[in-house]
Amino acid sequence: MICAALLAVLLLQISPVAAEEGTQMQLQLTQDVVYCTAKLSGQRERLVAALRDGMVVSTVWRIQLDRLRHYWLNESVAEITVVRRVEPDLLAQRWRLVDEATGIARQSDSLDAALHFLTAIEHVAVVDRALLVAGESYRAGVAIDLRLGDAGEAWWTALWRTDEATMAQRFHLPANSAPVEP
Amino acid sequence: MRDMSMRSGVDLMRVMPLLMAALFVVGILLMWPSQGDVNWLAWINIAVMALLALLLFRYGVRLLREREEPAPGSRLRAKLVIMMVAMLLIPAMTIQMAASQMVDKGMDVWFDVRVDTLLDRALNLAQGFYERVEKDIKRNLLDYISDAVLVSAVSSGQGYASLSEYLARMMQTEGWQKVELFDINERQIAGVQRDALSSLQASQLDARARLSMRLGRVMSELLSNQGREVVVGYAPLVGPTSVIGLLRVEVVLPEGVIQNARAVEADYKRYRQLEHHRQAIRQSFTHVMLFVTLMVVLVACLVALLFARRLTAPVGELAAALRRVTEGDLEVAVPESSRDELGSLAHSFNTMVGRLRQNASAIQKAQQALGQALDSSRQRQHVLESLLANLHSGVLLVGNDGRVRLLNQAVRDILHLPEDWQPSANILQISHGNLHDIGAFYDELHHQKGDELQREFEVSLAEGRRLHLLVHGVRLSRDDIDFSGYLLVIDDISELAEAQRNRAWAEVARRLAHEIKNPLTPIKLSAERLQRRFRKQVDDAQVFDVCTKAIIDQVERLQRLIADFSTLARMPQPKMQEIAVRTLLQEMQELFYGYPQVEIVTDVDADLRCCCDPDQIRQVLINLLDNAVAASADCDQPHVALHASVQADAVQWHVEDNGSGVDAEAVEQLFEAYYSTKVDGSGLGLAIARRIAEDHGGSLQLLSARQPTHFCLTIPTAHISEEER
Repeated sequence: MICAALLAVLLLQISPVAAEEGTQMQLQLTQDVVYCTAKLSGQRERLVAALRDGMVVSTVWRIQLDRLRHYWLNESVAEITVVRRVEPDLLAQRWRLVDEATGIARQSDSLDAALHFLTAIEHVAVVDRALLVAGESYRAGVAIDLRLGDAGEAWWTALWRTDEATMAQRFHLPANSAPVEP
Repeated sequence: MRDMSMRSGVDLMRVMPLLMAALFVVGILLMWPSQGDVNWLAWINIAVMALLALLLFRYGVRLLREREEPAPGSRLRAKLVIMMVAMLLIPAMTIQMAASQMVDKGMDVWFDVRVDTLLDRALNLAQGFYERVEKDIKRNLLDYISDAVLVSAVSSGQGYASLSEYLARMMQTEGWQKVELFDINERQIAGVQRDALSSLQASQLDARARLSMRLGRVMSELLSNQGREVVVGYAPLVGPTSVIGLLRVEVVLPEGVIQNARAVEADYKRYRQLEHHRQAIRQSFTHVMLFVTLMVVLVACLVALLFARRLTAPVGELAAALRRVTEGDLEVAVPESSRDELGSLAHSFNTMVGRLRQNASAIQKAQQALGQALDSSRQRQHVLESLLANLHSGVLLVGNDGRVRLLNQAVRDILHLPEDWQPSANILQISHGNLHDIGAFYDELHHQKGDELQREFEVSLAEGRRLHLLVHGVRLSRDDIDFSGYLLVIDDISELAEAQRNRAWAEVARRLAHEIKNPLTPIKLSAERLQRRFRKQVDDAQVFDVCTKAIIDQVERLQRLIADFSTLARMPQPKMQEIAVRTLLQEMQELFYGYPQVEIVTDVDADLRCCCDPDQIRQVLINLLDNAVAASADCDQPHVALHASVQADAVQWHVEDNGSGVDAEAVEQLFEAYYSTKVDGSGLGLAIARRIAEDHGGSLQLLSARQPTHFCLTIPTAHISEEER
C-alpha cells in the first residue's frame, strides 16, 4: 500500500513533460535503474523529405541528470548520448536503421518505422538508482540534435550545439523512498 | 560662399565615420544568422564588422565632440584615411553585391528543374530495374509454391541427386544463380548453385525468410555481399494443410548495371543533399566573400593609416612648428629629412623662421629702446601732472588755435570755472561774463609780438567776492616739438593785495598819528585856554564860543580819527578767553538801554559760550549797533535787533535794522578802510570790525543790503591759534 502510494507520488512528480509542441519526455524510476522515454514530434515532414531525398538522418539524444544544489552549480550525476541513424537505400526503397550506441543495425521496408526509430527513444537506461541520494532534488533533461546529411562533422560543431528540442523535468526523491516497480 | 562649402565639407568629413559605422551596423543586422545557423564565418564577419563599427563610431564621436584644435596633421590624416577607406569600401561593396547576385544566379542554374527532373528519372529507372528483378523473382516463385516435386521432396523425402537435378533444371529455366530448398524446420534439403559447387554448409534463414514461411507469402530482399548485390526470393511450399517448406532462390544482379544504378543513387543523394543545403551554401559563399572583403578593408585601413601617417607626419611637424611660431617661439626648426616637395617646404620654413628670428631680435632691441624712452616720457609726464596738480597757481595751456589743452585743478578752484571749461574748448568762446578778462588776456598775448605778457586785474565771482589776479602768459614755440601755444599762469593775489593795502594804510596812519596827533593836544589846550581867558574880553562872546568850540570839537574829531588810525595800524592780538554769549548780549542790552528802538534778544542758552576777546567783540557789536541806530534814525518806526544763534561750530551775531540800507555800489567797498557813507565817518569802523572777525578766525558779512539791513558776525566757538589762521 505504501509502495503504491509512493509510486503514485513519484509518477506524479515525474509525469510527462511537454517541452515543445508534441515533444515529450518521461522518467521511470525502478528499483535499480532510472529509465527515460522521450519523443520528438513536429519534424515528420522534414524527416520524410530528407529520407526520400536519400539523405542520412541522425538524431542525437543527450540525456543528462543533475542533482540540484542551492547557491551552487548543479552536480552532474549522469550524462548519456543515444545516436539513432537512418540510411536510406533509394534503389531498394528500404531503410537501414542503425543504433550507434549499441552498433545494432537492421533493415526496414517501412518509412514509418524509420521515422519512429529516429524520433523516439523508449526505456533507455540513464543511471543506476543507487547513485541517487534520497531526499534530494534532481533535474533530468533531454536535448535532441537533428542532423541531416552525412554524420562526418567537424570537431568544432560540438562547441556550438544547436539542439532541435530540449526538455527538462525536475523531481524530488523522497527521503524514505522505496524501490519502485517500473 | 567658399567658406560655407568648406565648412559643409568639413562637417561631412566629421560625420563620415559615423555614417560608415551605421553602414556596418546595417550590415551586421542584415548578416545576422538565423536561429540554428551554425556558421562560424558569419560570426567572425559580424565580429569584424562590429569591431570596425565600434572603432568608426568612437572616432566619429571624438571628431564631433572635438572643440579644441586637434594635433597638427591629425585631421588631414583622418581625411586621407577616411577617403581611402571610402574609396575602397564602395567598389568592395559593389563587388560583394555583384558576387552575391552571381552566386544566386549560379545556384539557380545548378539546381535547375531540368537537372532535378533528369535525376528523378534516372533514379526511377534504377529503382524500376530493382523492382522488375524482384517482381520477376516473385512471379516465377509463385509457380513453385505448390510444385509437386518440391512438396513431395520436403514432405516425404526424395533422392538428393534427383532433387538436385530438378533444382538445377529450375535454376537453368528461370535464370537464377542459386536455388535452395528448406523444410519447415529450416533444414536445407537440397541446393544448387550456378557455375559452382553447392555449398556444403547449409545457409541460415534470416528473419525475412521466416516471415515468408510464417505469412505464407512470396517475399524478396536485396542483399549485398562482397561487392555484389543479390536479390533473394522466398517462396513458401504449401502442403495440403499448411506451409511445409521454403524455396530460396538468388539472382545476382549484373555488376555493370548495379554500378550504374548505385552511381545514379549516389549522384541523386549528393544532389539532393546539396539542394537541401542550398541556402547554407549560398550563405557560405556570401560569408566567405564578405570575410575576404572585410579583410581587404582592414588591411586597406592599416595601409591607409600607415601611408597617411607617413605622408602627414612632415605636414604635422610643419603645422606644429608654425603654431609654435605663431605663439612666438622662433627657436623652432623642422627636420629636412626628405628631398621631395615636403623637404623643400621644410627648408623654406626653416629659412623663413631664421629671418623672422633676426627681425624679431631687431624689433626687440628697438622696442627696448622705445620702452625706455617711453618710460622716461611717462616719468616726465607723471612729474608734470603731479606738479600741476599740487601747484597753487592756476595753469592753463592753450593751443595756437585757441583751444584749451590742459588746465589744472588750481585754476578751477581759483576762478570757480563753469562746466564748459574743458580741454579742447575754445578759450575765447568760453571766456564770457566775469571771465572775459581771461579771454582778453589770451587774445592780447596771441596778437602781441612779444613772447611774454603779465597783467593784474580783478574778477568778480558769483558770490560777490572779488579776486585780484596776477596772470602771466608765455608763448610756447620750439622748432623741435610739434606744439605751439601759450601757457597762462594765474595767481590769486587778493590777500597779498589786501595785505599790501593794509600795510600802506597802517603806515599812513602811523605817520599821520605821529605828525598830527602831537600838535592837536596843544591846539585843543590853546583853544580851551583862549576860551577861558579871552571870552570876557571879546565883543561877541557868542561868536567866540562858537569858534573856539568848533576848534575844540574838530580837534577832538581829529584825535578820534587819529586814534582809529592808530587802532587800525596797531591792531592788538586778541586775548582769547571763554565767555558766555548771554553775558555779551546782556552787556549790549545795558549799554543800549537808552535806545528803545534797539531790541536785544538775550534768551539764549546760558551754557552757550564762545572763545574770543570780549573787548574786541564788544567793539564790533557796538560798531554794528551804532551804524544800525544811525541808519534807522530817519525811519518813522526805527527798529534795530541783535540776536545770536549757533551754527555748526560757530556763534553767529545778527544785527538787523530797517533803515535806508546800503546802496548797491557801496556793497563791494563797504568793508574797505576809509570808505564811509557818513559825512563824519572815518570809514574805518567796518574795516576794523572785519579785521577783528578775521583775527578770530571768523567773518563779518553783509547778508542783506536793505529791508532789513542784515550784518552777520561769525565767531568760532573753539579757539583758533594764530598759526592755524
